[in-house]
Amino acid sequence: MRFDHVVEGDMLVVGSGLAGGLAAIRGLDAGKKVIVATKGKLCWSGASAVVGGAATAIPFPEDDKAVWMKAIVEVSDYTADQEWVRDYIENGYAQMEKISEITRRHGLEGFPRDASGGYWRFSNPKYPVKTQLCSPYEILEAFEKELRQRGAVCCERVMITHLLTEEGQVKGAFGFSYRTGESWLFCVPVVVMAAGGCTFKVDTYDNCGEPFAMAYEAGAKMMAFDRGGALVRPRNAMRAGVLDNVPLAGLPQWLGARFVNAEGTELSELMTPEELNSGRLGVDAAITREVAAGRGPIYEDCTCLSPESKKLLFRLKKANCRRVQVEYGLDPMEEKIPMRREQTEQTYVPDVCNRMGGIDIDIHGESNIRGLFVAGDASAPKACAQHPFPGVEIGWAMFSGGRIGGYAVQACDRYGASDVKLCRKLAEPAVFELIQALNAHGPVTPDELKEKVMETLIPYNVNHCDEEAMKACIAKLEKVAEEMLPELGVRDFHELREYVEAKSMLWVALMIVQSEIRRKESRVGVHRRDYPMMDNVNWLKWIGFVKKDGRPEFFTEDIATPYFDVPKTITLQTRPRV
Amino acid sequence: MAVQGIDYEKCVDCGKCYDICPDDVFGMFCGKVYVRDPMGCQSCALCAMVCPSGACHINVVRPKPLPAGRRV
Ligand SMILES: Cc1cc2nc3c(=O)[nH]c(=O)nc-3n(C[C@H](O)[C@H](O)[C@H](O)COP(=O)(O)OP(=O)(O)OC[C@H]3O[C@@H](n4cnc5c(N)ncnc54)[C@H](O)[C@@H]3O)c2cc1C
Ligand code: SF4
Ligand code: SF4
Repeated sequence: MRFDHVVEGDMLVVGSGLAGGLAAIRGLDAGKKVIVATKGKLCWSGASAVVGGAATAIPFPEDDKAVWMKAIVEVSDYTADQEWVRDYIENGYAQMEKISEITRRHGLEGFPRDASGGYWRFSNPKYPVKTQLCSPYEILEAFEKELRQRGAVCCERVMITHLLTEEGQVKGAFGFSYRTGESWLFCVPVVVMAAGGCTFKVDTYDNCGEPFAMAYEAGAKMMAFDRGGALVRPRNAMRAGVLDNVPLAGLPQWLGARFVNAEGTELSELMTPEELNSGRLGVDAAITREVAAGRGPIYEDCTCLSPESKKLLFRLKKANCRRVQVEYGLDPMEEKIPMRREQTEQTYVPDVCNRMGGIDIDIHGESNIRGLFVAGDASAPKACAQHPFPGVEIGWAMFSGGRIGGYAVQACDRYGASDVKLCRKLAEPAVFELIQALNAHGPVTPDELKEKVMETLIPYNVNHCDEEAMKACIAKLEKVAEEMLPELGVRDFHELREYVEAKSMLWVALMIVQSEIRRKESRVGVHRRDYPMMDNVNWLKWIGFVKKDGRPEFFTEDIATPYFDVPKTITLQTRPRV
Repeated sequence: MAVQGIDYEKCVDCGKCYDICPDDVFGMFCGKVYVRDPMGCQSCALCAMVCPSGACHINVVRPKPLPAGRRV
């Protein structure tokens, strides 16, 4: 078997978002030979690259630690791993300072400062903690420069498909370039999996759950897939946020931007009480109604912002602002932006978000496979990520990237080098699997499979569900697998990428529902009609699974509460699901 | 389709859109970019952000039909 590229190193980082970028820099800091393999351009793919300006909830040293602990644990319906939450509260700020220093080195600012020179922080309206602003575009730009200038081996447009392990120990990884079809064999004792989560969206998205699928196949313990939170977004809304066709997604609103009609009347004065109570969906409904009634257009008005706020908004929402300039030929900070409405009724796009499980890790970020470290969205949310607390996801990506990257560095020394000959042998089944896919010439495209998976999962997952609905969903997903997988056709390496993505999405969808059906109560975004109570007496547990005899074997694990006492009660779960 | 296309009157063939697109929506032929896979676009506007000449046009309205025709 001939591999186009065989790369040896100390540490392979899979993915180069906020988590992978910082983990790789930690490896360089320690003088390791770091390889970064990433599906997109280095540092410009995954969720991190599309966030723009973001809320980031990182506890500051002067904050009350007990308040943070309570807020994070409560908002996760008590499922956050309190050891990790404590670590995050104590050490998150240090990672943030490290990122600030990296961005400064490149003349950029990862965390904007206000006129007084302090970090720009906002009070959270719902929780007694503060959220600060962060600028992922600038952080990623600095990460990219850092990795290239300091000699990381950067393998871009390479999709990792398989982890290579022997007796529960990482030996390397295998993947291919979807632009050229070249094969890549990586021989490393340590892999930091930072390849993001899995999202089911009507528009495509490059986080498709491959890190979960390949880690599971290699024997990793998976955790908390029952947290399949769901969202809907207005169809008109640009996915990444603000400034065009979309109710303000936070940032301009925080800064003081408004929606107005041609007469200058504020939209809020025209909104019904119900719309006013429905957040951004209410704003979208009001805009659509006004336009349909011939009272449009409604404008997004950032002209009233202070010069500093305008500058900040432009920096943080650079992509969207630039798009408004190109499509409308206007300056979004100096002219009002008309909200386009192509439908006369408000329609929504259901959007199952990546607030779901991941690869289980210990307090040093290592999975049950020795040498497999996991950071960011790829890790199980029990480690405090991926729950509906604004800003903790990005906070976790950065914190875990830095912290777990540090632990991974130590493991390089512990585990020694990997053996190329062994890796070649371990990669053979992976190669045959992909060859088999390339030999498939059926009529179904991988994109059609993705669509079908979403069509099957989303309606079930958006609604309040019960056992019957879950069983029906599982049966439908199994039927999709049975009927569509043999009919797939893969014509080139781009389609091979989509094929791997579609297959892992199908598997993740099944694992979500199969995990949810086991939780006989309502918690963390899953509201069951048949078990409407949140039951802290019997169900303060995580649900996980691991591959055994070719099938997932499910288990539960009690959640320890060393720092925050959970009330031992059974209460009606009223948190809205959508 | 979410990406509308390239305005060749304005395009300066810098290849930055091809370089950055996370979904590899663009292709390259004879030093010129073309739209390889319009339906693959996720409307992230990164191409518009890096395009020096305002030649990358993106439509943000979701083009695909709702799964099972749902209206929530
Ligand atoms: C529109 C949007 C807005 C958001 N806003 C906020 C917010 O305001 N606050 C907040 O806290 N969180 C927010 N989030 C969530 C947050 O962005 C993510 O939790 C975080 O960026 C995850 O970072 P990550 O590094 O773990 O993964 P990602 O940024 O997703 O990076 C994954 C990396 O892995 C690569 N990759 C994937 N698969 C493979 C493979 N098979 N082989 C090789 N490489 C692979 C990708 O190319 C990418 O480089 C938002 C998310 C989105 C989509
Ligand atoms: S908007 Fe994003 S996904 Fe679409 S073509 Fe541009 S860079 Fe690619
Ligand atoms: S970034 Fe703009 S100018 Fe450069 S190749 Fe793409 S469309 Fe043309």
